Order: sequence, then C-alpha cells, then structure tokens
Amino acid sequence: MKKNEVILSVSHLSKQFGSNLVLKDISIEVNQGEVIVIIGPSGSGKSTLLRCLNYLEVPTSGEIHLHGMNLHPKSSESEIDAFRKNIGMVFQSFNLFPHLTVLENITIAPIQVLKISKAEAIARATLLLKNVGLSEKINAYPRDLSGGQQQRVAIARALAMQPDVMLFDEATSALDPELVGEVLKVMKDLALSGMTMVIVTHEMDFARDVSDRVIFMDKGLIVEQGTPQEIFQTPREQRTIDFIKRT
Amino acid sequence: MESELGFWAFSKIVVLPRLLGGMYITLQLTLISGALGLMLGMVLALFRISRFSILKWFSLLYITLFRGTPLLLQILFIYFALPTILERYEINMVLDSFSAGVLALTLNSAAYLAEIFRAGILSIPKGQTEAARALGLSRHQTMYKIIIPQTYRRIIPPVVNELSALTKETSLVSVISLSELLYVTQRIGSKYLRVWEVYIWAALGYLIIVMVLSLIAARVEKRLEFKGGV
Ligand SMILES: Nc1ncnc2c1ncn2[C@@H]1O[C@H](COP(=O)(O)OP(=O)(O)OP(=O)(O)O)[C@@H](O)[C@H]1O
Ligand SMILES: [Mg+2]
Repeated sequence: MKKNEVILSVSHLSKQFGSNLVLKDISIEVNQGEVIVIIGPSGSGKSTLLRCLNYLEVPTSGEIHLHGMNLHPKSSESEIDAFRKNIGMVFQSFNLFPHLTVLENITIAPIQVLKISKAEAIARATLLLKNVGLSEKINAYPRDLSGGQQQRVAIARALAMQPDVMLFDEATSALDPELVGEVLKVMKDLALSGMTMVIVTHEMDFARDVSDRVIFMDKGLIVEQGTPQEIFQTPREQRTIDFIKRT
Repeated sequence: MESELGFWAFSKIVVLPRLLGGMYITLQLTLISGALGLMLGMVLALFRISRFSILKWFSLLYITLFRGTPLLLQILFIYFALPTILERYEINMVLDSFSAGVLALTLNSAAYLAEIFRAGILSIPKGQTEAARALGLSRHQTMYKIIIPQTYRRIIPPVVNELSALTKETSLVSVISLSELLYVTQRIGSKYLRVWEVYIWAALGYLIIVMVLSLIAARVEKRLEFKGGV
C-alpha cells in the first residue's frame, strides 16, 4: 500500500501572525497512502500547519507541492482553488452547510467545482453515505443529526471531491465521548482503504493504531518524528518524552 | 358649495377620489424605489465587504453620505441642484418629479438596506466560508451558494422595517410637487379649508399601505420555508 512515492511535499514553510512566528521552517514529505498523525501541545502550530496545507492560511514563506502543482505565497487565487480540489479537509466543528440537506452538502462541490452531472454526484454521494453508515439520513438537514453523524457527513462531503490527501483537524474534539468511536472508525476505514491522510488529534490510542508516522510539534517546530512505536515507546527528545508522559 | 357638505358626503365626493390617485402614486413610489433599493443595497453591501479597497471605500462613503444627511435635502438636491450641475457638463437631463422622487428614495433606502445585508452576511460563522473554500468553491460561489442563502431568515424582519419606513418617507416627495398622497391631501385641505377631515383619510391611506406590505411580508416569510431552520 505504501508506494514510497511522495505525493505531498512541504518545504521550508513558515508562518507568522504579526510578530508571532507560529511555524518555523517546516519541511515534510508525505508518501502516497501514508497516514501521518501530528501531535503536540496546545498552541504548537498544528492547526496552522494543516490550514497552510490547503492555503486557508497563506504561509509567510515556503512551498507546497502536490502532483505537478506548486503553491507559494504569491500563487494566484485560481491556482489555490485548483489545488484545493485535491485536498479534503475535516474540521473540529464539522461546518456542514445548515441550509442544505445531507445530500446537497455532499453534492454541491462536485457539481459546482468539478462540474460533474447531478446524477453522477448523487450516485457518488449515495455510495459515500453508505460507507459512513448514514444512508437513511440522505434527506435530513444537519440540525437533525448528532455531532458524530454530522462529522461523518463532513467526511463524506470532503471525500466526494475524490481528493488525493485528506486533512483532519481534531475531528473528534467537539464530540461527546460516546460519539467519538463512530467517527474514528470511519477514519480508520478510510486509512485502511489507502487514503493519504494527515491527522491532528489528541486520541493517542487512535494515533498508535492507524498511523504510519507520528510527528511531534512544539513551538512551531517539528521536534521529532518516527513510527508510532518510536515516538510513543522510545522517544529521544526531552520535550517529546515530557509530552508523552503527560498524555 | 362643497364646503357645506357633511363629513361623509364631503369625504365621498371630494376627498376619496382624489386621495386614491395620490395613494396610487405613493404605492408606485414605494414599490419601485423599494425594489431598486434592494438591488442597489445588495451591490453596496458586497462592495463594502469586498477585498478591493476602492469598492470598500466607495461603499462606505456612499452609505455615510446618504445616512448622514436628511432625505428631504437629498430629494431637493436631486430635483433642483442635480440638473444644473449636469448642465455644466453639457448633459441635459430633465428629471420629472416622479423620477427624481424614485431616484432619491432608491439611493437613500439602498444605503440603509446595504447595512442590513452586510450585517446579515457578517453574522454567518467564518467556518462556513472556510468549509466552502476548502472544498474548492470559489469566493463567488461561496458567497452566492453558501453565505447569502443563510442570511434570508435573519434579514427579513429588518428589511420589512426599512420598507415600511420607506413607505412613510415617500411623503417627503410632496416638496417637489409630486401629487402623491400627502401633496394631494395638502391641496384639498387648503382649497376647501377643511383640514382635519382630509388629513385623517390621508393617515388612513398610509396606514393601509404599510399594513398591506407587512401582511405580504409575513406571508412571504412563512412561505419561504427556511430549510434546515436557517
Ligand atoms: N488567525 C490567527 N491570528 C493570530 N494568531 C493566530 C491565528 N491562528 C493561530 N494563531 C496563533 O498561532 C499559534 C498556534 O496556533 P494553532 O491553532 O496552530 O495551535 P494548535 O497546535 O492547533 O493548538 P490546539 O491544540 O490548541 O488546537 C497560537 O499561538 C495561536 O494563538
Ligand atoms: Mg488546533
């Protein structure tokens, strides 16, 4: 499954908010099919990094490559839009569109952005809803769903664009504890299906279970990275050791 | 002779036929400038939140100007001053009092409506825009497919409020001798020297228009089935 073929690469990425340097010269290569989990203390820049990967936040410097595409701080709006088609993102707060049904939430981007036919978009959405176990909610509105169901729809919505890479920013942090499992299961299924994923999470058991590589960040730097075994059992850096002990 | 008629007879023979004509013009003023004001207001709101600073500043200036000066002055300016200014640039624009009235009311209500639309758009959580952009929707698609549709429910009450204010403000156009409701009222009142009978009917006329508009708005609000409770 791991083809050792780099699909997404980040080089020398920095991000500054005013005088606050939040990301410091970050470089990462993500292989096709790889599942990367990013961990680190609050404020270490995990969300900012993820948001820079699809340019919701424009980095101060650095480049991002995906396939033949290359984004840098001077990239045009249309280049960014084209880039985003290939990267799906799941947010902590779901952010489903409340005025659209579950089906419409999932089909709007494929229809508007990829310009596929409505019939094809519906076929895609139907299959995705089946995969996340929500076929019977196809015509419901978001407010009629539980948090866990909303997040599963949000995952299906991102997948409907058939992205090359999926980003998850604390996808289960806003959920009641009893609803976390259903979302993690969907994410695990997705990982097993070979999707390339970059996941920010506080769920350490999940990280151990599904990830190929764990990246530990602190104060805008990648402090250490390695297999889950290496990071959780035999961390080398003191900061990593302290963090793992605390969780 | 008519001045000796009783209240009902005077109302029926003299007042009502003329007031109805005035009411018709008032209604036209309201509907036309209301509709144009809604359109212009939306454009101004979009300018106001645009990322192009020229549009932003233009809109801010416009809104400040039209909300910061009396409507009465705006009406007089457009009717009396504007043609003379244009004349200097060799543009001959003859503005009859109806067009001048529509223009002034449109420009004025657009400024107020723009602020209502802008507040509605800004009230939608940022996560909605981010989710839409992350899916690859363009700025434009995000605004028209995701953000604006979510504002409808929130803006209907203030918009109705503004439109009923507009209905009453049409009376100011009487100063440029447009025979709308108030102008007709004043004319009859001074011609027959019977003031209160005429003014009561005029008040009723405005009240009826405002109430009918509010009723229609309430219907629309109910009809517009707010999807997903939004
Ligand atoms: N839009 C912004 N403007 C200014 N500062 C910001 C902005 N977004 C994030 N920051 C700052 O950047 C730093 C990193 O924030 P970030 O949200 O990336 O951390 P995080 O690792 O995701 O933390 P958490 O685990 O709490 O989610 C913080 O100091 C934060 O205050
Ligand atoms: Mg975060």
